[in-house]
Amino acid sequence: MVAAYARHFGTATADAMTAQEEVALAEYDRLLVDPEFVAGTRRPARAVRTIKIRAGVWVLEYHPDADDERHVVVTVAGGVIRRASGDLPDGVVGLDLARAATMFEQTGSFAPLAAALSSAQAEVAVMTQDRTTSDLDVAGYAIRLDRGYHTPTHQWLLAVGDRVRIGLDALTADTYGVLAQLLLPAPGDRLQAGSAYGSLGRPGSWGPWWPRATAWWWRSTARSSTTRSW
Amino acid sequence: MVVAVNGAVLDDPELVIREPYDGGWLVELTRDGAGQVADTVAGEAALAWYRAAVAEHREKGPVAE
Repeated sequence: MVAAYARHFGTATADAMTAQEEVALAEYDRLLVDPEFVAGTRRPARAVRTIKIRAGVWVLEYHPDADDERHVVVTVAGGVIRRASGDLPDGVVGLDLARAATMFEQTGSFAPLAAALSSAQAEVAVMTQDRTTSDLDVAGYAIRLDRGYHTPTHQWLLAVGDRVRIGLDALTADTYGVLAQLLLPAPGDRLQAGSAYGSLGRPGSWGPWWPRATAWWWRSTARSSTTRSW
Repeated sequence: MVVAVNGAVLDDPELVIREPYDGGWLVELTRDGAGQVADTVAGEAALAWYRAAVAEHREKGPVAE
């Protein structure tokens, strides 16, 4: 690279500019006072300006150009149009994004806005899907919102067909660090409210699995019993 | 009544830690004759509870012992 620099600009000296450097500097002296160069590359005007406030919340501004009377501002949150200003069809506020996009598409004159709303709707759909089928991170501990949680025992319940599947949340699982042994009831066992149903142990610590963790999940049993131990 | 037990976690207890929401499940129960599942939170309420629990855990230590 040094050789290439020397070929292009000549051999540099400490106390003087080379002829090539003088030419290059003169060119930049000219360019840097040229308003068009300083303004940079011109981008095509966008009919819809989208400002993202945070995930799922946008402000969309539709203003085709300065001479156009159509100037609309729409606020989107939670997959619904929350506010709107400008000359818009009645009933826009409160519409979900899919229906709003369809409405604007049908009006024709708001087609660019319809496209922007469709993009927002697609992003909301991904967010919704992620929140129900993927782990959400809470300060390093995952939670999944496709199931219910029994908060006193940090266990989750998920309907699987005609069964209820049960497990531990990530926060509790993580607190055990290393599990060496796990005891569970056998198929056919009937669980009693007020009784622990399993045990887990980690190296150097073995004992009943949470005295508080009981057969709490059956409403008919739990509600009729006073033996909850937590 | 218990209708299924996850044999995978009996063979490998740490599956509970590695995959708490998938392969680390513990047991499956029937719902017949037992009514609805009681006293659970879901959705945003679950998220709010979990955030508070994690914050408490970070401040005070384990929450389930």
